[in-house]
Amino acid sequence: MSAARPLTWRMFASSRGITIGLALLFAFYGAAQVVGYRATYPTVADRIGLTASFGNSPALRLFYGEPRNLLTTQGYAAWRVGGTLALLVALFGIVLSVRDLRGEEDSGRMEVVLAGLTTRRGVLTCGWLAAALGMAVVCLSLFVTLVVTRLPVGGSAYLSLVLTLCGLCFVAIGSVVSQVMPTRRSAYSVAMPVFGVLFLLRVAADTRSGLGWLRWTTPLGWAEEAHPFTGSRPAALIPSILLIVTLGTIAALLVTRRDVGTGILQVRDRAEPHLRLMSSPAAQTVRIESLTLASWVIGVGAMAFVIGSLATSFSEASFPASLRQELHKLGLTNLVTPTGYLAFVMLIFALIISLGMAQQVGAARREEADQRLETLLAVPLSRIRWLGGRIGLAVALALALSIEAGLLAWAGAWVAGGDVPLGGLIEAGLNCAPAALLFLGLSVLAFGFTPRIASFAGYGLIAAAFAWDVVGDVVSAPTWALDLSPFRHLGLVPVHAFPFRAAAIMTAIGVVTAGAGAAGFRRRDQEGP
Amino acid sequence: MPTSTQPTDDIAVRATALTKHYGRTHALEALDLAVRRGEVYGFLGPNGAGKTTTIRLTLGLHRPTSGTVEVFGIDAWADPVAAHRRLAYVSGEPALWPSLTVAETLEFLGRLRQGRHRDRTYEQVLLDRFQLETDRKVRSLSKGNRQKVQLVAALSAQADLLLLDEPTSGLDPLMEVAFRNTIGEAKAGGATVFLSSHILSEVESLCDRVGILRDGRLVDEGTLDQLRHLAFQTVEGTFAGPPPDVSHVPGVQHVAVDGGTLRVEVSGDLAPLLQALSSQDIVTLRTREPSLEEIFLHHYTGQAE
Repeated sequence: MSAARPLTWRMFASSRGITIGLALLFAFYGAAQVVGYRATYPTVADRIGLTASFGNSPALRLFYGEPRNLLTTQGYAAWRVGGTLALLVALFGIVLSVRDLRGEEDSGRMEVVLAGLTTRRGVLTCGWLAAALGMAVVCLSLFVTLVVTRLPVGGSAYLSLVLTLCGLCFVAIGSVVSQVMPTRRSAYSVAMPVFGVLFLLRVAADTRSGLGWLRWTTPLGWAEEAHPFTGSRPAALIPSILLIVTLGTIAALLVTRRDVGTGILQVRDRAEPHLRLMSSPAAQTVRIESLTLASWVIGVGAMAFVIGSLATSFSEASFPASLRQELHKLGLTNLVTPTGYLAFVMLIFALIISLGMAQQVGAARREEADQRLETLLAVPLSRIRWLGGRIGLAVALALALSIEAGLLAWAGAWVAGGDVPLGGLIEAGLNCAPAALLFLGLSVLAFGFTPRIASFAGYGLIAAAFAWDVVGDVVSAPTWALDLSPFRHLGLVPVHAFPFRAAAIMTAIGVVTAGAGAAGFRRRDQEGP
Repeated sequence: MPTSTQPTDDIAVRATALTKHYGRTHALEALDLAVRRGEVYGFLGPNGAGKTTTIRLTLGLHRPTSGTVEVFGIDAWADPVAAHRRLAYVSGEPALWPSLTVAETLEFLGRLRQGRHRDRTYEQVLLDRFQLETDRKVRSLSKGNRQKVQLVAALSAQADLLLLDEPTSGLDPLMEVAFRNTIGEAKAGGATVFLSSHILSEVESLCDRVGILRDGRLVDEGTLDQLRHLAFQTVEGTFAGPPPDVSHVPGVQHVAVDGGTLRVEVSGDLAPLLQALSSQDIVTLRTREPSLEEIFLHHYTGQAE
């Protein structure tokens, strides 16, 4: 198949922005964790202290998984690096496969390819190869970083392999979903909840005693069970390989049993007219994006509910004395209560809702790139009114998700028999909104001046800020540098008072940058793809 | 038409020294253009000549590098909303929302026009004429059918100016006839039509005046008669003996000799050529005005060499 190489390359190159961004993030994050660990915990005593304190914190297990050995740099890297990056490779796998295998068809470009000598299975294979290549680049970047920071070559390669396989599991999931669902949007709205469920299974396994076996039900758990750097267990990779082969076979069977341009499930060609949500561009956006918006609402709600229900297992007695002491020193006594735990964990929603803002600006940009905006702006509709509608919708989404996160975290705790304050948790939820509004403003600014990279800039800034917040401490960066990350300015609400000043400043920056972005958008050419 | 009560300038679209550069690409160079109110203006040019750029500037979607373009005296870049109240647009690449049906799309675009009256009766006439099924989702429509949706939306908006960018590139010949009839109706109703096209027969049958664009410059403009007159004529003669050599005669080009038959194109005054031809024994002599296609090809092939 002579067409295979250019097609694979084309698909790989179309995702080069996100691939390079992620490769840099992996290198930066991996290096910072390893170097930071050595600097912060130089002696065995320090490391025993770490194991007894933060290593046992369920709040951290939520994100990093179960620590196996925090006495060595390798064990720490396996936990902090492997645990977090497994989530990122999973999301990356879904994005790559849906882009290559559904997005390309949705755009109509695949018809041109399939009219040539390439078969459907050929296109599928090229999509897989391109996704595997992207995954390999990202994991290779981590491998090189770990080796450069003087971790053993064999173990570093094994950790990178574990992450690659984990990512490929989600490529396989995405490739089956892409055969079944008829559009890019509907493919995401199925694949992302699948990821959510698999993530929650891992969370339950890592944070609740007696549920450890649940790790075997999710590719994210298999990556943990492979025990990178801590007595490797390659047998735990077998389920990943079996899943990839099985789902790959299913996708290859399905691809020849459907029409090109649609999925096994088909959208209806006809419908009775529904004239609701037609009165303005913003209303029409709600209608067009309803599936995406619903995914955000359901995803954030489910996650908040689960996090809330986990909070009840917290009481002062369940924390080791050493952790209590450390928290006392930090003035965080209240953190060892369910409310304190939620105050800490709720901060993750600041990240998630910020990503939602970047997604919304990305959707606005897609409207322009696909030239539907040209159709809109040719009627008497001002650019500012159109963009204002999109921004207004994003702000409403940010506020709704923030309040929802607080409300459902409270509901989860309440259902599990906990006693946490409803008002306080809604405050904790709203505490996430200013950072999201700040990133919304920055994304709009990018859209106004550099539309072609707006989406990349939005996600990139959020990822960089979050990574800096996580690793900045570990590398002992100066305070002013740490303060650059908006995530640093979120208070531990409701344990501490709502940080009105920081919230006002972040919101103000969001408003100013969005305004500047709108002014740029008003004065620039409409830009196609 | 509602605007006939509003006496303004006689010009619907006026471009003044309109220039647009995209980086190093010079898409449009100092274009001067005036489309008169009520006329059908054909805008001709091959791919990449700058037709779509002109239309995007007229819509205020892109910003002129220099120069201005006005729609009924309103600056298209400075006040696009006011300009758009007077016009309706059909793009060559119909970009609509795949999940909406035809009826929903028309409703949405209609509501965005707010105060502007949407003629639902005429809309139904057009839907029947173009054989559009309103319950079909845009996703399931062919390019030609999506183009028809745009045409129906634009034509039922009762706009004073129709900006049409290769509006029939996806239509079949039957629909092409329906399109021509519809444009005739719009003109009869007093609308101005700016039709960018490279379908010459369409322009020839519809347009009052024609502008020919090449490499971002207007190289010729006028009514069809003017273009024919100004351009060149084909002169064909048969001779008893060998035809005379006329290649040095002023205004003569494209000389073709086939036995006793001579065919030349001549622009400007015919007298020097006739004088040269009469030096030999003429059997027959015919002159013919060029078709629009010949004028068009003349502008492109003739000067490109």
